[in-house]
Amino acid sequence: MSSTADEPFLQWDHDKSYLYAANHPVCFHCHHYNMFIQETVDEALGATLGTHLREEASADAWRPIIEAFLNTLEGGEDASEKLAASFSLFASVGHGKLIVEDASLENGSVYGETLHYSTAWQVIHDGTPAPFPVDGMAAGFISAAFELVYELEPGSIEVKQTSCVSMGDARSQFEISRRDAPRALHASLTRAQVERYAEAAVDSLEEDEIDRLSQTFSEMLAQITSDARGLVEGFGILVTLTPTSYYNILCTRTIEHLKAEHPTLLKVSEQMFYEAGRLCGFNTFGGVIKSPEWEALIGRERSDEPLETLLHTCAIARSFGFGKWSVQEYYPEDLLILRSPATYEEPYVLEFGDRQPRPACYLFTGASEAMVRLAENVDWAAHPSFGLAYYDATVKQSAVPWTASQTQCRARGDDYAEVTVEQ
Amino acid sequence: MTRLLPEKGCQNQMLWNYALPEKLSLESFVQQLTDAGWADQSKPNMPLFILTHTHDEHRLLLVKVTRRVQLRLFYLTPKDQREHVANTIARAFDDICDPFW
Repeated sequence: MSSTADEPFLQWDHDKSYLYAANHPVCFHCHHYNMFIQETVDEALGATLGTHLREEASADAWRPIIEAFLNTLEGGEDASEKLAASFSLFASVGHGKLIVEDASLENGSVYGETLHYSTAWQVIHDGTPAPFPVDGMAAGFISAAFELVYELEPGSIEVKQTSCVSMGDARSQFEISRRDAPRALHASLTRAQVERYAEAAVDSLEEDEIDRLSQTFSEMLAQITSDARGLVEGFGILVTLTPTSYYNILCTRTIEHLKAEHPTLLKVSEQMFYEAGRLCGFNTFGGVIKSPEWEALIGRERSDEPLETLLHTCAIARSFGFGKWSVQEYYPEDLLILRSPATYEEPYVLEFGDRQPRPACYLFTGASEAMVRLAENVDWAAHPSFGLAYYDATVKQSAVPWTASQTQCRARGDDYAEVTVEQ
Repeated sequence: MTRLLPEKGCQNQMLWNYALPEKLSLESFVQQLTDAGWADQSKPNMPLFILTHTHDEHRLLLVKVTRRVQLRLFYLTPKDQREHVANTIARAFDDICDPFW
């Protein structure tokens, strides 16, 4: 990502394990989580509502970051050049290359051939065409970029995806139009808001080792650049950097919608967000620690020690900007307690939602179960192949009854986030 | 003789491991690959080399400490061609490595 001489565009807060772009929280995620949380939203809301929510969440989460990025340009650029600059930001963080065909407001048109979400669909579903366009992230980004470049009111541009690589089309095509009236906007978080909730003093077992690994891994992540397709392929996964508000909006709005419209489905949907976290933790953390990149980082072949796996997965979570995930207690084949001053999920609920009677850290909770399964139930000597098939066999159909529950949550008024995983 | 083996556990033939002769330095191998059309995308101070095939976008990772060499085929390589493509690439590696065995 670009930077000015005074301040880097991407800021790392190693102490609290958060990442910021232009003072807005961002985090890394892999194609497994990105695709699964998208499918979770679409299943909960239906394809039409789900697609609209994803586009709006992307536009509203990216808008302040694009605005800050455009302010770093020298000035004098025309609309086409400003749009191209915005799209270079999108590509630089692994979301894929967008090409401006027509920069006008009247006939605006943009396309991409290798966008993250349609590529992720192809990688995960291996030849099965998608039933509807999946690049809502790109559509939302395009609408925010057009609004900023033409200095329009936020929410006044609508972008319709008319074809999608994931459906077998040669391109993912986007057509731009103006709305009759701007739509309602979703709030997005700032760095100052996030920092209000990460004050608790939490350290892990082997804190020095986790801290060292996390810092080294962060330095490695900072050096990884996107390829000619605008994708970031590393550690055995496709990686993106995305405003955390995007994921926050998806989760909170989906839950709110279900509470209001289908309250009986609320627990099912919460379970699906938990499942997205578990799948993410298992495949992302598993893929990373099995990769040559991780072997290079730790300077040796990894051991099969369960505690080492837990510590390494915490280091990865911290480097991804998930918060200061820490192993509090661990008793093999019995109990794991993970704690964090806060996650990236709680500040959004606290700032923009009601204090909840139920815990709100679905990613943290689901991923915690995955971490203990990676530590204890994966046969590393057999060189596992991480992906949906291995996940189904090792986690979903496992006879080992690990269950994770969030026992402390900032969103409920507790002092920190804590998850207990036990048999 | 090829030193190419499928990555253990990889079920879709996308990942392959290649064994380098001990006498050949990683730096020399990387230099000869860049002369042969691989782009070296390694960053300074990184503990591994990352190369991308200029035309076909396959990737090669070489871990400096352990000398692990992993070939990652481009994700759109058709399933029925993956083994053939990997073997073709490995034969080019063999040409570099053979004098060092």
